[in-house]
Formats: sequence, structure tokens, C-alpha cells
Amino acid sequence: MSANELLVWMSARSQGSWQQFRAAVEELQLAEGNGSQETEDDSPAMSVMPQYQILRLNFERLGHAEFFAGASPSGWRVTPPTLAAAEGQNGWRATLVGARTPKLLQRLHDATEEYSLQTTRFDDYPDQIVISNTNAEALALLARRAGLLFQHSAPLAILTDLPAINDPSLRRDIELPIGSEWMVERFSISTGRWLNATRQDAEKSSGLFRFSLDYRRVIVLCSHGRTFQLPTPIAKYFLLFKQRRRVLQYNLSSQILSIPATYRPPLLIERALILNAAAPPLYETQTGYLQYAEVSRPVAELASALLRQELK
Amino acid sequence: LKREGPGRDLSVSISGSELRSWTGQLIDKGLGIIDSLLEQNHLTYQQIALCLPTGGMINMPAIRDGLRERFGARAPRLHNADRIISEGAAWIAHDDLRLALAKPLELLQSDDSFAPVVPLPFMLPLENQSIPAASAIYRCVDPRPGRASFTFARPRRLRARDARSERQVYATFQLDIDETATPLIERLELNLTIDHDYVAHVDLYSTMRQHRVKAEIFDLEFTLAFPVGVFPETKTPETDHEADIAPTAPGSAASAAHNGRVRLRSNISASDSWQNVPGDLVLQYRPYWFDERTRSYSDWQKEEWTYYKDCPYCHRRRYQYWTEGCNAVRCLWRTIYPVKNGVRLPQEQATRVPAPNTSDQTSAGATPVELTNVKVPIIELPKVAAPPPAATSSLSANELLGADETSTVSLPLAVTPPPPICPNLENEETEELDESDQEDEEAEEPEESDQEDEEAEESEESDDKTRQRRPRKYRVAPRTPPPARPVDSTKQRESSELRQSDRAFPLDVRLTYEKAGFCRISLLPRRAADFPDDLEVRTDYASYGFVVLQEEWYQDVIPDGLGVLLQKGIEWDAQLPDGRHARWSLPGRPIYVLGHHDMLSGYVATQRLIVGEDHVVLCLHERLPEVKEAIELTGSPPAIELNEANGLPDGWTGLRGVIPRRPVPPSPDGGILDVLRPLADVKISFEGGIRIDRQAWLHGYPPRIRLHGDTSSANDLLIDRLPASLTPDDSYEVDGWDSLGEHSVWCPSASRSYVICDGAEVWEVWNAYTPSIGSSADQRTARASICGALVRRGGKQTVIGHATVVPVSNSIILGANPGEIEICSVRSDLRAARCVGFPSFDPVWALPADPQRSSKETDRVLLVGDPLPVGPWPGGAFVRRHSTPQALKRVKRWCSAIRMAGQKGLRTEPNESDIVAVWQDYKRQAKMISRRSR
Repeated sequence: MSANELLVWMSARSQGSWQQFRAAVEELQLAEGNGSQETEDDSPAMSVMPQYQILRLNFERLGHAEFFAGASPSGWRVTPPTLAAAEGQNGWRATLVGARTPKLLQRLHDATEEYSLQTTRFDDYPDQIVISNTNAEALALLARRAGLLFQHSAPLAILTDLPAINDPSLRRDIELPIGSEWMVERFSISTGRWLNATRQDAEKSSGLFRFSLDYRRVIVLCSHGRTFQLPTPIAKYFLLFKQRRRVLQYNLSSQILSIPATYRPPLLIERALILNAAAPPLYETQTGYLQYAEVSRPVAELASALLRQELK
Repeated sequence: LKREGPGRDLSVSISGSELRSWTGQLIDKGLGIIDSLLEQNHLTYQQIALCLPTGGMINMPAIRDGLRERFGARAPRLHNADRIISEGAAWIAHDDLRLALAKPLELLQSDDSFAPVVPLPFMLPLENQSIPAASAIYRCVDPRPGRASFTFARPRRLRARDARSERQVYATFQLDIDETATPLIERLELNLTIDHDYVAHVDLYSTMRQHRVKAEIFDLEFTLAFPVGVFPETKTPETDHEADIAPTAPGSAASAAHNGRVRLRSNISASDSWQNVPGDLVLQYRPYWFDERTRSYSDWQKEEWTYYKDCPYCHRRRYQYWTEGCNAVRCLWRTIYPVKNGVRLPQEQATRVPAPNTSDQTSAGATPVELTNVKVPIIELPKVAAPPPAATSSLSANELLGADETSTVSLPLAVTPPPPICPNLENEETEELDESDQEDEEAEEPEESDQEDEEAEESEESDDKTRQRRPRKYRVAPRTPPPARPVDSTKQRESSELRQSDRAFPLDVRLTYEKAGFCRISLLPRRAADFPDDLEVRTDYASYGFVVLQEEWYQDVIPDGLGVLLQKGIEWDAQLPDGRHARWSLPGRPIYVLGHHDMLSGYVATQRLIVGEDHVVLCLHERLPEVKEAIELTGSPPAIELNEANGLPDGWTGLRGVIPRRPVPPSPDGGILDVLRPLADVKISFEGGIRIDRQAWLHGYPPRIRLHGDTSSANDLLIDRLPASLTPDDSYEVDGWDSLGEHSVWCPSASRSYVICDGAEVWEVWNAYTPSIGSSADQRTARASICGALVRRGGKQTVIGHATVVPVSNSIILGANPGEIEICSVRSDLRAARCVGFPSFDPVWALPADPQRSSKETDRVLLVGDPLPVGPWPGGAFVRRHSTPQALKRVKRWCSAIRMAGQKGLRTEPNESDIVAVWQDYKRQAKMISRRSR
């Protein structure tokens, strides 16, 4: 079984609970993929993520489904089938995103006789179905014929509407968790790891702190006596921004954007990068970097601007 | 009498005896009505507290004597008896009393109870009034006949409190319904009005079948509606008595069967509880309904389910066996209704007679006992057409009913225990054995334990709630029912009540393979539907956070010292947020058999090896030689050994790739090694595919149908009643087995069904992410809404526009129709080269925001969509009459933007001749519209 079957199952169900998703992963007996770059960054033990979490994040990154995002209080929902077009070096590419059923795929194949349709398989991801054409309008027409929605310049459309990582709308005031039983760690930019700390450190100094108790984790950004809660990837880039550290590398000629796995971009920014490349990032085990291929310059610039990073 | 004169007065002397002789027949007839009325209501004279004679005729000595004879002093002679009716009518008029329904109008429910449709008090309507009395929605628990039965009735007695006491049926109406629907799905509407003639008008309507039945009920009983408090509700001996005897009251729904009369069984229910669905039907929709772990069935459901089963070995129905007999050695009915001296004993005697000798057991000197809750597997068998005679109790055994260890239920059994080894030890050693036996059962499947063991445990717990339970020892699920002791029914009931509040759930042992040859052993705590998602379980040594894995399990737990726990057993206890206690139990054992599970990945603990299936066997180091020997007897290929280096707990060895090839008879002593001796039975298995509901697979992704176990005894396998053929991948198929619809699979010892259906084909867009920018930003001011790869206008905008990205230099987007203009907002917080707009039209051009200041050399008019020609323009006067000021303003801006770009002489991009021609046309049209709009 593969993630394809899981996506078909999700599409048939349309939406469901988190438990149902996990049950489906169990029942479909999805093989453990490579997933070595996927560490549960928020867990104290830095353990390898369970398969259902890897699949969930991958589905989210590609935009096939949204989890806990307006779908239901504790569930998932499949997004409507969409051709997400992005401009590349050799024309336009449209990635099939969202629900997938045998009938829908048949319609798409029927409609793409004169187009170049490529199906690529990746571990722990549903197959990437990409249609290429020099003309974006032709792709839009194809989407209409196949009964799909169409998003022109999907990566740029997503990125243009996202707040930068230092936007105040992303931060929310929060009290430090109360109680001595919480395990406190502090994120070290230099090592890219969580190091042991104390509650007093969080109270007195600035930085990114993680409070863990059993399966609960609270990420707190402490800055000048104030404490904020914000998503971990955003908090890390906020720290980098404050300390004027640059971690993004962009090779204009090869159009590869390299990012340390520790500093994986926030979900929607990564979604835009993946849609632009029409492929998930490649994990370089030697360097510990995630490589996003075929990232056009406008997308790379916009992503780096949102992350408050300057491209190396 | 009108005439004048002597003839006016008629004076005739009549003696008392003469009058009595002339009227005696009438008087006797009148008094006889009293007698028959009392008889009809099963009352004696003594039960009448007061007989109030009224009317002038009461002055007749014969009538008085007749009443006195019957009621004595309880029939007083009133001085105003002759006018008391008229006086009463005057009082009623004076007090303005209304008439009300005397007894509630009730409807027979599927559980044989009567529920009020028009409850009391209910004031009856006045002249020319018609009052809506009831409006309710019912559901059909058994739609198979295609008709729902609505039986309206009233209690025979006043103030009958219970739902099963004697009823007087008004009428039964049949409403056509959708016979193909799932139970409880189709809504059946009931509207009832009562008019001023006290006639109830019934209006029934089936919402799917759209059948309507209109009928009338005439003989409603009514009474005066006295002010509240005049008759305080006192508990009379009669009503008390009613409550006690209700279920068997003559004429009641329940009693009809006893009387041998045919009685209509209602198939409607006001509640949508699956407990009302017939036991033989519910399994089609809820295959795990009789699973003791959830214990959601009603008693009569189970009784009905077992009633309609046939023997898995001889395939005779109960009635067939009873009438024809059976020679099959393993016949289930022979066990229940043993043959003695060539005569089949009736049910009531059968439970008192020792069971026939089976295997090594002997019944000599045995004491007949009642054993409840012995585990038997679910077997879905073809329905039987004719109902066999009712049996008031049932008997079965694991081995007799076949095997499906993944789903077990409990059935009441009456079995004969083997003689005790030593009478003196019966209460000690034997009891200990029994307890561990039952504990095993319970641990394997919650709530499947001997009542007495449970009771003992409950009492133990009640003594010391905080005391840690003793871990259980595992015993192999017996192939014959284990011995049991007679238990007091009162204690059983108490125990059952206790059990409801303190349920034992199993901890399933699971093995999952990880990378590099490693494996992981974990415990999966089972979960009930009403359990919280997160739960903390504390023991003397540690606490564990249970986090929900899926609906029926919590996430894996790997406790410290797992090796010891697997051997010794586990008893964990937790208090649920609602105050209930929950227990998780794992019986300690030296050998575990792990196999594939329908709903879980990896290998999960199962009862015993199954022929042809892949297993992992875990055993203590010291048991390895005998385990290997036992596995060898099954013809399994050599297994691969796993040990601590592979991730197994200390002290344990694993054998991977155990695939038994043949069944092995169990040992007489029922030792632990029996788990390595597969049964000679067959299991139908649905594997793979994409299952989107309990028994439903997605069209295009059907399950593979396989047989597991001793397939040599399976003979033919039928799919949809057609002989199936075996495919190269060892699955069975027939033509159309994967087509849309319901399918059945049958083999002589098992049957299952599955459904192939379509999934969703429509998915809606929703606001998954509504990013906002700025400190005061919130969802209302969100620029955009993102859902998957789609980006749409955010906030509370009513117009949905899809994102169109354009260069910041060309932030005005135009469509083909005049007035279609969208100005993109350029973000000031980013040095972005692109901006996004959300036009609600098909974009065609992107123009510089300020064409007059743009550079003719560098700035361009960008074509961002299809080069559509300018849309129709109906004319200035028409537009002015029919357009809003905002629309007119947009038209002006659309024209202005085009004209300014044209005046500047900006070139188009791409600058091909056909594109340039289209742009020229836009300029011409804009100029013309501007002129005509002035």
C-alpha cells in the first residue's frame, strides 16, 4: 500500500477525524518510508516521527488535505481537486492537488491526450501528477475540461498573501506554563538543537523555549520580558531574523533553494515551494539540508522576504 | 292521557311480586351488564370500593337488592340518587369543567412497549375545534417487509404506569416504506389531530416511499378534567399489582405469544437506537454488534440472533433438528437437546441432562450447571425462512460454533462440567482454575468472564478499591466449555450492574517491524467509544498517558520491564472523567501468538495459530524447544528467530514466519501449547482494497476474498451464490464480485458479506487558512483564503475571486466587459515584485497603476489571460437606468485605465499582431463608451 491509496481513501470519505486517519494508516498497512529527515522536532527525544505524522505532514505540504485547519475541530478534510500552475524555466507546470478518485484521474487522462503528463513517485507522498505546457491558459482550459479547479501562479498567489514571520498577527501573548514538572529546553541557533534550560532562563532571558510535559508541548518565544506563542518554524526564523543569521541558500543557475532541515519553512511557504518545484524537497543526508528544486527566482525572493532572510 | 273525564286517570294496582315478575328479566339483564363489565376488566365485587346508584329506577327494591347483594354497604342509598346526575351536570356547568382524554393514546414500539403518543392530560376540543394532538417522527427498525406497523392502543386500566400492562388496541395501520433502506434511516411522520366529535385523525407518511395513510380512531375514552389536586395520585394495590404482573397480563403484547395467538410485532421506534433492530438483521449493518467488548446489544436482540442461527456443522435449523433429528456427531443442537434413549429431550429437560461425551470429558456424576458468558465466535450464516420453536435458553461452545477469534461474543450456555478431580478441592483448586480460565476470557475479550469470577473480583474491589489487582494468568481458550459453578441469579444481576461501571479492556500485544531488522513490542490498550481521547493511567510504579490512536484503540504503550509484564500479566486501572472506573488487563503467559489484524498494522496478539496465515510467536527462552516442536507439528516452514538484539523484551524469543500448514488436535489437558495447535476450521477474510466503511469497499478497490485456516474442509466457496474460482494470488472471484452493490460470500462453515460503493465525488472549497497581516489583522480583514493550492479573496467579501498574480508595476487587472476592473494591493512590508488581485472575472489585461507616469520604453500592457474581445455594451441610457452608481463608476474607471494607457502609447506584451489588434479594439470601445456615458 502507498500514500496513493490513502489519498483515494481520504477523497472517498471527503473528511473525517484524526482517529479515522490514523486508523486508515494502520489498516492500509502503509509501509514505513524512508522518513529519515523527518524527526519529531518538537519531541524531547528527537525521535523519528511515526508514519501517520509523516503522511499527514506530507499531505498538508502538498495541499492534498488540510488537517485541523477549518476542516473540523479535530479532523481533516480533502481539498477540492485543483491544477496548481507555476511558471518554470521551460514553461508552465500544473500539479494535481487535492482529491483524487479513479474517475477523476480517468477524466484527467482523457483530457490530457495532447499534453505532457508526468507521474512521479516519491516515498511517503502520493504520486505527483504534473502536466506541462508552454501556455498557462491551455492548462486552465485543460482543468475546465477535466472538471478541475485551476489556480494560476499558485506558489506566488500563496506567498503573496502570507504575512512575514515577524508580522505581529502571528504572535499571541501567552503565560509560561505553570508547574515544576514541565521539562524546559531552549533552542540554540548555533547548534540547531534544543538544549536543557530552566524556567528561570525563560523568565529572564530572550529566546525560544520549549515546555514539555508528557505529550504536551508549548513553544514560547521570550523577548524582553514578554512571552509569545507562535508556530515553531516561524519562531525559529524569528530568532534567526533577530540575530541576523542567514540560512537560505539559492543557486540561481540551478534554481535550487537549500534550507537546513532544522529550519524547515512554515507549512504554507513550503507548500508554495513544493508547488513551484512540482516535487517534494530532497533531503541531503550529508549536509542536513532540504533542497527545493526548480524554484523560480520570484518565488525564492518572495519566500526569503517572508522568512526575513536574505538569499545567499 | 289528554282526554278529559274519568278515563284520564288510569289506576291499576300492581303487587310487588307482579312487578318483579314483569321486570325481573330487564333487571337481571341490567345487573348482568355490571357483572360482565367487571368480568371483562377482571375485577371482583370486592375490588369495587364504591357503587353509586343513580337515577329514579334505583328506588326499585329489586335493583337495590341486586346491588346490595353484589356490593353490600358499598352501594349506599342516597337521598338524591334520582337527581344526582342532573345536579352533577349543573356543577360541571358551574365549574366550567372540560372534557379530557381519560387514557393516553399510545403506540406500540418495536420493543413491545407502549409509548404515549397523546399523553395525559389532554383537553378535548370544544365545538368546531380540531386540536393537533401529536406530531412525531418514527423510524423503522426492520424495513425488510416494506411496511411499518403502527398499532394504536390505550391502557385497559386507569393510571396504568408501566409500558407493558394490558392494552386495548384501537387499530393497526400499515404504512408502505422503503424495504431496501437501512434500519432507522427512513423517517416516518405521524400527525394526529382530534376533532370536536372526539375522533382522532391519524396521518402517517413515509418520507422516502412517500406513502400516506389517513385513518380515524373513534372510540376514545374521555373524562372530566378535574382541577389538579382533587384526586391526588395514590398508589393503589391495583396499580402496584399491575406493575408486577404487567409483562404477562392477558391480552397484552407480551402475553399474546403465551396464549398462542398470532400477534403483530411492531417494527417502528421513536428512538434511532440500534438496540431496537432485530437481532438477525442488525449484523448486516453492524457486524460487531454482538461483540462483548462493547456490549451494546439488548438481551432480546441476542436471543433473536441466536434463535435464527443454524448449526455450523449440520446446517440444520433448530426446528429442523427438532422435527427431523440429526446424526452429525458435532451437531450443535445435539449438544443442546441431547438424545437419550433415542428420544430428543425437550428444552427444559435438556438443560438438566448431562451433555454427550466429547473428547476426553466425561459427564459421569456431573452436576448440571448454567454457565454464562462463554466466548463463542460470530458466524454469519444464511438467514432461515421458517422460525423454529422458541427456545428459552441456548447452549453453545466455542468449538461447536466454529472459529473466528477476531470477533467474539458471549452466549448463555448450559454445560456439564467434568467431574472434579477431588471433591474437596472443588472450592479451592478447581475454583482457582476456573477463575484463571475466565480471567483469560475476559482479558482476551472484555466482559467475557464467569459471572462468579467477576463477582468475586468486584467484591474484592469493593473491599479495597485502591488495591492493585492481581495480574491474571493466561489459559488457552478451551475447545470445550470450561466447567462452571451454579450462580445465584441475584448475584449475577448485581455483578452485571457492577460490571457496567467497571469494565475490563484488553491490552493487545503488537509487534511492528522497524528498520534494519529491528522490531518493537508494544501494548495497545483497547478503547470504548465513550472514553476520553486522553487518559492518564497510574500504577504503583509508573503512570502512562493513553492518547487516542483510533476509535477502538489508544496509542501503543511500551512500559518498562515489558518482558516481566508479558510473563506475569498486567492489571491497570484508571478513573474516567465521569467517575467510572476502567480496567485494562493482560493475562500473563509464556507464549504469545501474533497474527495479522484487519484494522491494525504489524502483528497483533491472537488466540491461536491459523492454518495458512503468517504469524510471529513470542515465547520465553526456556519454552523455546517445546514451542519449536509444536510449530513443527503444524508443518510450518522453519521460522526465523528474533531476540533481544532485534528489540524483543528481555527473556523473550520471537519466531518469525510461522505459517502452519495443517491443523493439529489440541492436547487433552488444554495447556498453553494449544495456542500453537491450529484448529481445523475456516475463516473468510477480506484483505486489502480500500475500505471506506465497516463493510463497504470503494468501487475500484475491492477486497481480496481469501480463506484462512483448514481450507481442505471448505469445499466450495460461493460469492453471490455463484461458485467462485481461485485466482493465482489465492483469492476468490466470480463475475461481478467487484461491482457496485452488496455481495455475499459463503462457504459451508462461514459466511460474510461486503458492499462495493462509490465514494465522494464533490469536494467544496472552504477557508482553511485566512492569513492576516498587521497587528490589528483578524479573519474579517484577511486578504486571502487558502485551501490546498487555491487562493481566493478572504474576509467577509461576498464576491469570490480567484487569485491572479501580476507584477507590481502592472497592478490594475481588466476584464473583457466594461466595468471589470480590479486594483491589486501592493504590500508595503515586502519588497516583492509581484502582487495579487482577486478579480471576480476572467482577467485579460494587467495595466500599470499610473499609466501617465509610466515609461513607454519599459512599461507594457500585459496580456494575463485569453485575449477576449470587448464584451457587449448596451448603451449609456440603458446602463444609467439599470446600473448602480458603483457599477457606473467601475465602467468609467475601466475606460479611463484603457484610454490613459492608450494615450501613453504603451505597447502590449506579447506584442504580436493579433494581440495588438485586440488591444486596439479595447481602446476604441473605451473611447466610445466614455463618450456615450457622458
